[in-house]
Amino acid sequence: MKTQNSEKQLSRRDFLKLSGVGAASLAALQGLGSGFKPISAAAVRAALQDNAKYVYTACVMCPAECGIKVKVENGVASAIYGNVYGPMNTNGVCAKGAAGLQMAYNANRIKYPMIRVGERGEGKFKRVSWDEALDYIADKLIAIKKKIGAEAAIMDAGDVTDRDPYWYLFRAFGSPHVTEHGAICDTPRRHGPKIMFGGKRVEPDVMRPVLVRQPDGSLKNDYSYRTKLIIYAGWNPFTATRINYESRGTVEAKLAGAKIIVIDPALSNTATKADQWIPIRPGTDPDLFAAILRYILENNDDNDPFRRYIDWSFQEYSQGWDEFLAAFKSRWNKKDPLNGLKYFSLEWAAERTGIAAEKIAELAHTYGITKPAALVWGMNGIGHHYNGYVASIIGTALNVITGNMEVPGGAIDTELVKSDKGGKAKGEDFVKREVTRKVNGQDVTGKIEELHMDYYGDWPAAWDDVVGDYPRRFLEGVTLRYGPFRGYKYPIKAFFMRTGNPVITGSNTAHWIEALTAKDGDEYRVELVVYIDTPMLETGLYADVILPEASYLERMSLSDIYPSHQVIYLRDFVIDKLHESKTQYDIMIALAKKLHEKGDPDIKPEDFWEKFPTEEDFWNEALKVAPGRAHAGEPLPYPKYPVNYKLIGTPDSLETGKVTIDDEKKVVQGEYVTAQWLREHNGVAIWPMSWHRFNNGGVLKTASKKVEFVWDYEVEKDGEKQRKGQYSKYNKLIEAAGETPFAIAKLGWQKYPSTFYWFETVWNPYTNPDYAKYKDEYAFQVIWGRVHHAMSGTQLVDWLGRIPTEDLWAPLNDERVVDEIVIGENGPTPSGRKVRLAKGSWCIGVIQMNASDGHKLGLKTGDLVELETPLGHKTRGKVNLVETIRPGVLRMAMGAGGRFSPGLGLTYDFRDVTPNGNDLTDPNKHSPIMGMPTYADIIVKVKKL
Amino acid sequence: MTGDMLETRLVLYRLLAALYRYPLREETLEALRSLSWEQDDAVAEALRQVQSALDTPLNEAALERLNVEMTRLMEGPGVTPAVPYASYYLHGQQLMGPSAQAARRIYLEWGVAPEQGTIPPDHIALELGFLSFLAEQTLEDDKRQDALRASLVFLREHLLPWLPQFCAALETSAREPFFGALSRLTRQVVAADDPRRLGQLIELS
Repeated sequence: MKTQNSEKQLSRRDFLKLSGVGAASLAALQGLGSGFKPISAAAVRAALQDNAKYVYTACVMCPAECGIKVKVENGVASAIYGNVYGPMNTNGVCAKGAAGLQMAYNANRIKYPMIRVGERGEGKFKRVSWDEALDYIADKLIAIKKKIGAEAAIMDAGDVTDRDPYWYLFRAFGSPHVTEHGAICDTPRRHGPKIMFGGKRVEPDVMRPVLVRQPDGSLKNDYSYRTKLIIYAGWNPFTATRINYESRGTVEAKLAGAKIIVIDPALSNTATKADQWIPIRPGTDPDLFAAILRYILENNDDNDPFRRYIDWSFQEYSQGWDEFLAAFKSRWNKKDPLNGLKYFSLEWAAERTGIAAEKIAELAHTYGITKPAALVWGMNGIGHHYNGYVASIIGTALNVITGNMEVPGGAIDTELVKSDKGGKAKGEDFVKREVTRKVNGQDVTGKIEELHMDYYGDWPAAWDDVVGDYPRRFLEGVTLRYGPFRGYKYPIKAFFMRTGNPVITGSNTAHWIEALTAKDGDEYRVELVVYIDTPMLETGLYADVILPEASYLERMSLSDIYPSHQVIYLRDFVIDKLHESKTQYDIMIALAKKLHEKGDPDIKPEDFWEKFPTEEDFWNEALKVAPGRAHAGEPLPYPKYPVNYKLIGTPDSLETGKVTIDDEKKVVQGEYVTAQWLREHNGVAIWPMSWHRFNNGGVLKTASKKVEFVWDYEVEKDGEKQRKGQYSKYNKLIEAAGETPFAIAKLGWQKYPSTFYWFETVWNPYTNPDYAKYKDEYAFQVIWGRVHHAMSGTQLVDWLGRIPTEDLWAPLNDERVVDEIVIGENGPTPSGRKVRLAKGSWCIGVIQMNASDGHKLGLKTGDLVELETPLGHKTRGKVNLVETIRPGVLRMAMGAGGRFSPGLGLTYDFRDVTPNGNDLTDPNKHSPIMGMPTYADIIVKVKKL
Repeated sequence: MTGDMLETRLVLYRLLAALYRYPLREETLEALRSLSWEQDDAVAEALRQVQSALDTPLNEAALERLNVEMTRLMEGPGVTPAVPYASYYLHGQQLMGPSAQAARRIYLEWGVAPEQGTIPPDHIALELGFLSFLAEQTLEDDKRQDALRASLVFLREHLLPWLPQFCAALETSAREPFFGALSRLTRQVVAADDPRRLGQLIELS
């Protein structure tokens, strides 16, 4: 409605007038569009009515992968709770889980595919389309495969377990090198259970509720705690919250009458709940365990109830104990050259561990006499030492001979009892295919898996690939020493890193950077580096291509957890994929299509998009093997089914008998678990619990189906002699080749020992004479604590960065006006914008030091110091002087400092005053059997800066 | 005259929305270059500055240079100097906060959704694009008043609370003069679209 009067009130100066604009220009501009499209009234109604709904899924903020429930309002995830139906965490979430929205909706997320501009490490990228990124990758992979072979490519799927699509793809492509984070996590700690049970990870029986078959045939949740003693050695479940139920389980067990003992150089959060804290010298857990074992053997009296430590019934489900005992005893009269005392005696252990002999005796006695009990050891403790295997083997033996394995309230090897998942979706069949290579001028044919750089190279006994030793192989190439391809050499030309950050966590940081930036002429030696993830971490700075992976709220998979019996969770789509991210399945299919289009002969439609038309089809394939464990134990989960048959199928089909029983294959086949079934059952499948699952074979995975104390032995079968035992395979390879792996040759071994063995750790002046000379100048041993919510990939989450933890992660930041740093054309550069951080408002990684040590050095809390190893490796950080750590020990949080990826937010701004333990790790020391970096075998001197 | 003003608003918001959509295209920049202006006010001056920041001729290398800079400034990865989402400034440096949900709701109430459904709805290009959509509605007699009122509300409650911070970030961080000039143009266009003018346009409808 126009009026003449109103118009006259407007002057030309009040309004912009577009005069002189041609109709063509106007049309051109109007043709640009608004970016919006109309939608139907019905669609609008539906969208507006999108009220709060709840989706059950699995967390991914750490590998515990607890069941969670996510509230979604209007298509936006707004709150995270625990899934009350899942026994792993019941309805709790830890700090990380609750903060998950800040990962999914983080502004620093990788949003688009990127290709590097400039040199690796500069952090300059340009956004590209998915098509361009995948073309780049596929072209390079095909060229590498043609020139050398697919074995020159490594797919490292990092620390998140929903990796099957990547493994499937790379195995199909023809590479035997698919790996995950385990190799740089804690392989020595797992070794005892691995070789003696065929398992991996012993935890206390404190997961509650557990679903138990009752005498009347019903299934009921059992909430009772029967544990009488838990000993945590170098294990801190209250901060390293990975075995979620151990935190509240330990408290509950204690309320129900359990005694808790914590053996740790530092007073960890777990130690604050303990009845006794034993501040052991770092790196001496094997010594302590050996002394406990000797004490128990020397003082056990079957006729005295006060001294009946050993439960000899263990011999019903074990073999080789006599040889093991003989080998162990053979050292008893030998004197340790370091201190002149007899090995494994109380006095010897007191000298080495720094714990009084009476305390060790009391500990051994308490452990022997208290039943049921669990001796549990951890990742950062035993797992991080060169000789951790020794402790793991002795500890496993202790749990076995004291009769604590698999008893209610005792210790459980969770690897043996968790649900199986993956099946054919892992692609293992592909690496059984045969290929031909030229070796010393001859054509040799063998299986793809026999090209493996570790198993047939320098690390035949690696059960997880030796990621810590990758830098050396990236620089020098691979030489195969065993198997049909012995003598074959090949370089590593492609490295894919998914949800992992080895530049910070994989071993010595400088060594990783050297390996990823080495050049031959103008070309990088490792020609293709691809980084796939949601947050941008340091390893991404060295990538050629970055692919945005959908966050855990935007993808599907199955979760891998550490329960006392078979349980499996679904990870489900909660919100639509943000930005241009894709799920692992999407990426697998997209890259497979590219490779196929470009003529790769091994990628076939019938293995990929024809076989798995939807994402759900892939995960249903992975579920076909669930639960996949032997039907064993007491009370028997399904009384109507035969013992030791393998169980497959949903809990309800097994319960109602909708099964077929195959007596030849010994399988009870129910209806396959599917993603939809899980959705309809609150996101989780739970099968019944039982105990005594080692009896009559049960869940044991050794060749003999018994606990094995001897790991290379002969059996006679059908008149033929066969070598069995977990080390026999490697020893056969060694014998055939006539060559000893270099790492064990250093120990003076020709092959892997058949039973108990002992060797010292490295960089420890208190236990290894080779290092005694460093004792005075390098007076501090460095250990690491895992602050679970401030690990490599989670520090960019604001809430987590503000939670002080355990003297390791403390609000000791100085006030800073911080230059905001961006990744630009010229690398990390100030953007010009400034942000003020108030003093004490943000947590940073610090160096925990005993106050008396600090005072002797003239230090106070907050002072900046430099740590230096005998090899000249350095890092720096602020000291936090406390009473809660053994003198002579420094402790830092893994991945908490020296973080130089700008994608990390505020942690990045304090990289100059926070310590990176991997600046100190010896790049040339890897634990000799499975190649893990020796993160906690570090000694330093301290200098105030 | 009013008709001219309504058309002008439409053209300017369309232009701005397109200039914040990645990647920048040759058509968009040529369309920008083709505009010519009569008077000497702040918007016209800002427009001239943006136009003069364009290379002549605008070849592939120049376009790539602008897009690389745009990536550095707004797209990522990692921290960018000028994060282009309302929630980041208004809800503790997080995305998909209440601003994003409110924006989505308004779009739905007008029966539209972003063509690019995967980016948070409070992206600068979408908020400016929505203003251009509303501007288009103002050309229809029966929708004019509602669309003008909605524009006023949207500016006041959605865009203006964060635009100054975003523009400041863009201006201090930009190394290509084009983006600094774009930011100033954005400020001027929005400033000129103030409640007094919009109110008068509503009166005249």
